[in-house]
Amino acid sequence: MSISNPLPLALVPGNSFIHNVSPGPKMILVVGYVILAFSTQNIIILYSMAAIAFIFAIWAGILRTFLKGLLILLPIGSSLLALQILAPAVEKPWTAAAELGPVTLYIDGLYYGFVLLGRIFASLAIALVMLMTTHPSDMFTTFTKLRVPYTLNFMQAMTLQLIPVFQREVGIILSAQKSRGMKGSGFSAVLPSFIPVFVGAIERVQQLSISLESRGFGSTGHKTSYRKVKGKWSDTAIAVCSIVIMATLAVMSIMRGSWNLSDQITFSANFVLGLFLLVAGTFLTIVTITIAFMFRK
Amino acid sequence: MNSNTSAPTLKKSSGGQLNIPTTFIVTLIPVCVALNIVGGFIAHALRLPVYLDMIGTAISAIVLGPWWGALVGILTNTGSSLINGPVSLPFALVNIAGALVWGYGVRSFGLGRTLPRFFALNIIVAIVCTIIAAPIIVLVFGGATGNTADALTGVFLAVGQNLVGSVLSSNILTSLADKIIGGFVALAVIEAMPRSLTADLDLVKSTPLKGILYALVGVLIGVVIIAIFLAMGSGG
Repeated sequence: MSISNPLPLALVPGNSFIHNVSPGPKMILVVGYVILAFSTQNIIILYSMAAIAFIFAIWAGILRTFLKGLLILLPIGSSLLALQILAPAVEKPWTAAAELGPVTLYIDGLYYGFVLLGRIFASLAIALVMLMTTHPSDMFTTFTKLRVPYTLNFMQAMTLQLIPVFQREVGIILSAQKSRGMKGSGFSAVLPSFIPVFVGAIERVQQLSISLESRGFGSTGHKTSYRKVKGKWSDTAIAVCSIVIMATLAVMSIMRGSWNLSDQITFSANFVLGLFLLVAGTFLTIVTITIAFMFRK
Repeated sequence: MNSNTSAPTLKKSSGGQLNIPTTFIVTLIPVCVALNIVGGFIAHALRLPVYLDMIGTAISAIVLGPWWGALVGILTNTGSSLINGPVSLPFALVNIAGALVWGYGVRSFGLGRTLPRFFALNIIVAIVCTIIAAPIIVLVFGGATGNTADALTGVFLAVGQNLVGSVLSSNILTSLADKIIGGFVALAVIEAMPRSLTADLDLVKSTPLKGILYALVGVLIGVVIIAIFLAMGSGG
């Protein structure tokens, strides 16, 4: 990844059914996913939620961008599983699966590791589907309808507009440094390039402030939006179905004490050893690449 | 362009603090939030071992006040969640805590008056942020953050430290580097701001970052030695 690559915040344009669902039901779905994910320890529910998000991504025709967004899970997921095999987040005594030199691998933490990964996976997957199929302005218009103060919406919308501007400016300054024979990566390049971008940004604040003042920002009265968000009967149906299904599953999980299936699902010692080697190897490869990047001339 | 000449003239309130126009605050906050997000993205893209996602928080907390800084912290993490999903959302608490310590530290306790005081303030911010971040990392992410510090967490676990202790030990190193660098970059930016906006602040002049980096390396080596001794002690 390079800093010239845009941040993965863009809407992937399309005209699928998922794109046409208004932001309200999508937000309900995301919030419901997060609540359900953190109220259950049932890995079947968690990974089914992630699978449903995948189906939505395929339906919306955003699978490629969606998978790129999910890459963030690779380092977190690999280190999470490795750490849970090394030090389970469950009460002792732990069952040893194998010894690797001075390190003991335990079976007990693997189920909980899959639960934690499933929570992050499901929440991230549905959030990415929402973000990649919803126009940011529609989202802020919906926030306004939900009585979120328009000043807050303005700040959030302005942030999203400023991010690519600042990103481009840092890139220009780093390129200028490189063209003068200075370092273009690592600490010694980034820190000096940050100061001019920050100072330039602060100077921009004054101009923006005056232009807002001249446009009557802060005046009272009904605020209108250029984009209109209209609800359809299908949006209401999606919202109601999402609430009913997820509330039922969340209540069932809470009533069954998080619905933990660790007693029914067991992992063999060989599986734990193989998985540890795989995830630790993946993570150490990422760390090696990181260190190589840092010391690259 | 000399920014000092174009700055608006501000009046002081009865409490001695500057009356900064609402439109200035409303524009400064998104700029700080965007700088946080871009800083975090660049640190990630260039694979730096720090986060650099709290520089805007420090600027706003010191210039506008701690609670404005906290708002920047909240908007940074909600904004990040609008970009790459809700993974960073729980860390809003860390950003808020950092803003409050920076803001009250400089504005109420005079910890920005001299260089050693400001250095100490950044160390306090790092410690507070680690104390808040470590439980989030353990409870939500099972001890993993996905960055280089996880390898250190694994090493501490291997020598017998428990998960919370290992996460605390590895996180404090990253946090110290991040907050000290972030704090001093913020100081340099604040110095470049119009004098009329920073007239009520009792802040030391910024210093070349090279000297700060040497001091930071010294602090990090000290913390590593303490963490290794603690880990070996708990491992028996």
